[in-house]
Amino acid sequence: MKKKLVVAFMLVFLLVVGSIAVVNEKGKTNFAGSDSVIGIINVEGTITGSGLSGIMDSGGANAIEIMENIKTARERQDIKAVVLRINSPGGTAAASQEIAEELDKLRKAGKPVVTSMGDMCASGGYWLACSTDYIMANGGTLTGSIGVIMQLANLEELYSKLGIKMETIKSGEHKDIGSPARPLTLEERQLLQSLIDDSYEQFLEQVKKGREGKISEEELLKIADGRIFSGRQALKLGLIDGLGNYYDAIRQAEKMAGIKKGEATVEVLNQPNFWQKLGLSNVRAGDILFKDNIMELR
Amino acid sequence: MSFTEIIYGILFEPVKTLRYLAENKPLGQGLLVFLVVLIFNIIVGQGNSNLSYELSNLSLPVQIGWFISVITGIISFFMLFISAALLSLIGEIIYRKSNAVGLLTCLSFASIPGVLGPALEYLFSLAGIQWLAILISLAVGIWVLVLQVLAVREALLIDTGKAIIVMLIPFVVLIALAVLLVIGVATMSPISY
Repeated sequence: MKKKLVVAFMLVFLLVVGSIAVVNEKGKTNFAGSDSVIGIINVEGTITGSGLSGIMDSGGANAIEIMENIKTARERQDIKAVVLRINSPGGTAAASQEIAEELDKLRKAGKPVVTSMGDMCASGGYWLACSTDYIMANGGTLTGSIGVIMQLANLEELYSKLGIKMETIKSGEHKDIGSPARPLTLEERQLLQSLIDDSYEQFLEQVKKGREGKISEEELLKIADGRIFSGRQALKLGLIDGLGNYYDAIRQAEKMAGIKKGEATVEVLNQPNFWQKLGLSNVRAGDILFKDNIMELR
Repeated sequence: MSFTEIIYGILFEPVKTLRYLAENKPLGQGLLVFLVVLIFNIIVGQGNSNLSYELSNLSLPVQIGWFISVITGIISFFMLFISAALLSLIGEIIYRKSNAVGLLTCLSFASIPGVLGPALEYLFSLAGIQWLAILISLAVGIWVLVLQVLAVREALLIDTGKAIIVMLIPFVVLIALAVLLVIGVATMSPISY
């Protein structure tokens, strides 16, 4: 009986300690380190809502993962500010939108967010930047590209050369809109154009909201035609707040969070794991074989 | 002996228990215990590394820590087999005594106190008493080492001094090989006078 009690006590003790370790690992509670952390969230590559990437892809910026990181930054007490490091040509409209919404929640929680632009922060990347408190870019960064694009391939002639004839059975007139087997009809073109226009309107609203008081609506409309700018041009136009590198952005985040220079611990919240570095994360055959044409901000 | 009695025995009556294990060889149970200890130590070890200020300052990606822990765990599991085989072989060569399966079983169970070290270390680290955490970790390490010597002794039916020699031989050979390697590299130096 005594032996059983001792072993049972040991097991309970180990279970409790193991559970604490697991909970702390998930929450990443910082017991021993600094209590002021600047969280870094990398947005690297094309922004996509898909959690899957092909073998040859670099992986891209997965919206779900980025939103999870933003949520973690919001929930962790020790994270006082976030630097969003963006190096992206853009991505899908919905993915950019949902990440931006999560960034807004983070800012509402009282945590300042600073954008640090890398080589490129265009279109969908700039959409995200507009949901941050301060935008910093390098002089040579490529940014802007405020616009929406959808490209569809018409493979009709290729199919005919290969002897492939597509048979379509559809429930409604527009169910096969964008089919590669035939050209777009005038009505379809108008439908898709209205879709693009609506998305563009949303993009403009996002920029207006994010850059309020820094660029007038008139000025914005003049430049929001898809063109790209260097970081220096963007600063003159009011699309960004300052020039500086990654470390300047961290310093800016420290300043905005009221932390003394160099006192905060910097923690990268979304380091790629071993498999992601090899480009082998979440690979699914279907994803390699089929890719949808979706509306993109790029 | 029931499973509970074995666990209790390893902690409080190690000689008697290891003798029983060497004779009866409940290898399945032993490997299961070793795996549980290993997995628990990976989880708690990860928690410990999160608390380490020095490690957190290195800003290593979290996944790397897990990756290293898992790889270390897998290597430890294979090393258990290699150790048992090697020590049994050394016993056979020097003292004409071998019992590889018995030794494997004993060494597996001898890892049990190893589960307490990281757990206590973690708790004391959380409480901020780092020195006590280190001390406990060291004490548990010595405890496991003593149990391993006893495991060799009981499995090969030799005395304690001989068991220590059997355990030391692989280290001596390794050190000798390292010295030879260093001498070899030095003599291959392209610099001549």
